Amino acid sequence: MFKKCQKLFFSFFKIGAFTFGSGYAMITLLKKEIVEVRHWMSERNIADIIAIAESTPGSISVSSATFIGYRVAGYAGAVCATLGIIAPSVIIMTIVSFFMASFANNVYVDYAFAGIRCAVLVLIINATMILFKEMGKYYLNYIIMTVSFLLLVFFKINVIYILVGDIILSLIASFFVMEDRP
Amino acid sequence: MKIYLELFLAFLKMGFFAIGGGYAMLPLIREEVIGHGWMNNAELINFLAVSESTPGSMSVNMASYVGMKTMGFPGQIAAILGVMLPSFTTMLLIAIYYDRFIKNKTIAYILEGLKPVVVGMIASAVISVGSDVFFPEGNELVFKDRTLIVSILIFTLCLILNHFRKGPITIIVIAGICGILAGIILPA
Repeated sequence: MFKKCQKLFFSFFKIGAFTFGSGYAMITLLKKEIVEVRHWMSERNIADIIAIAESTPGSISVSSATFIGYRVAGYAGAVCATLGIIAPSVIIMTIVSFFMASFANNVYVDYAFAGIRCAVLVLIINATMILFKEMGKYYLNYIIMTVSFLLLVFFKINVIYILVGDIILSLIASFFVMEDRP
Repeated sequence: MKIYLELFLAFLKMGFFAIGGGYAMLPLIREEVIGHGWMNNAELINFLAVSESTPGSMSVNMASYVGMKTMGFPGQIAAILGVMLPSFTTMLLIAIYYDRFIKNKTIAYILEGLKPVVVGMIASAVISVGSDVFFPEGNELVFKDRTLIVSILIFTLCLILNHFRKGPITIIVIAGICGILAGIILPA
């Protein structure tokens, strides 16, 4: 139990330390660590967790840490994984709060992060592929995917409205199709 | 004592409404943090730049930073507890009742239905992050007029590394080093 918690803490510490930009880039790392290295969950589980984390309060990374932590090692696991994922950002922000001004204007820091942003883009593309693979291949899904993409990119609609609208749509669908799930 | 409670409650509110994440929550963050006088406008913009370029989600970063700055470590703990509590409780409950949760047909439908939206959301993030990377504005033009070509080169290198199944951490570190090298090699 203690060993498992320790592993959870360090796995999520690693994920937390390399979660740059939005949580989406983290999905690539999460999959590698949780599915391929530790074998705690399957790729399909990851897609479910992302969908749940995306529609509940909190960032994807912290929410998925709490969830996976509990599934692997109960309450202690949930606490360890959550502490692990926030620890790097807490440590860094504590340091930053002392050196904010010099950090924000350092030219080498700018160079490094300009490079890192390119890597983040690749990781997000990668995560898109992972989640696309796990999506059911039905016409309706392709339509919902395209419409929500267009609404977000061209009409800057708030994500919450899209999520709520989609949940209502799914509820209506579940009333009409009572047999086997899609 | 009152200030700790204020920090806790303000960040509890932010934690609760942090759905979808990132910039959607900016108006609320601005209202709370500037409204309480914990930061001014310029400081908030600097903070966003730093938060974007360091690991961790914006809400947790914000809680650590503001808590630390206003009341030191105890303030930091109060703010972090506040911002974490909503997501921690929700995810814990879902994890505990997951088997029942996932067998519920309505929830199974909702989860299946959310997947295409999540793909749409993340694909839109590819567009917005992509335009920031290749066509940045103002002081994000780190490599001056060569920003586009440098970005394309580093991006292509990362794509190749990714294709050969190099891990995300390797890719991030190499990209960071390439950024610094590009900055040193290019004459100012």
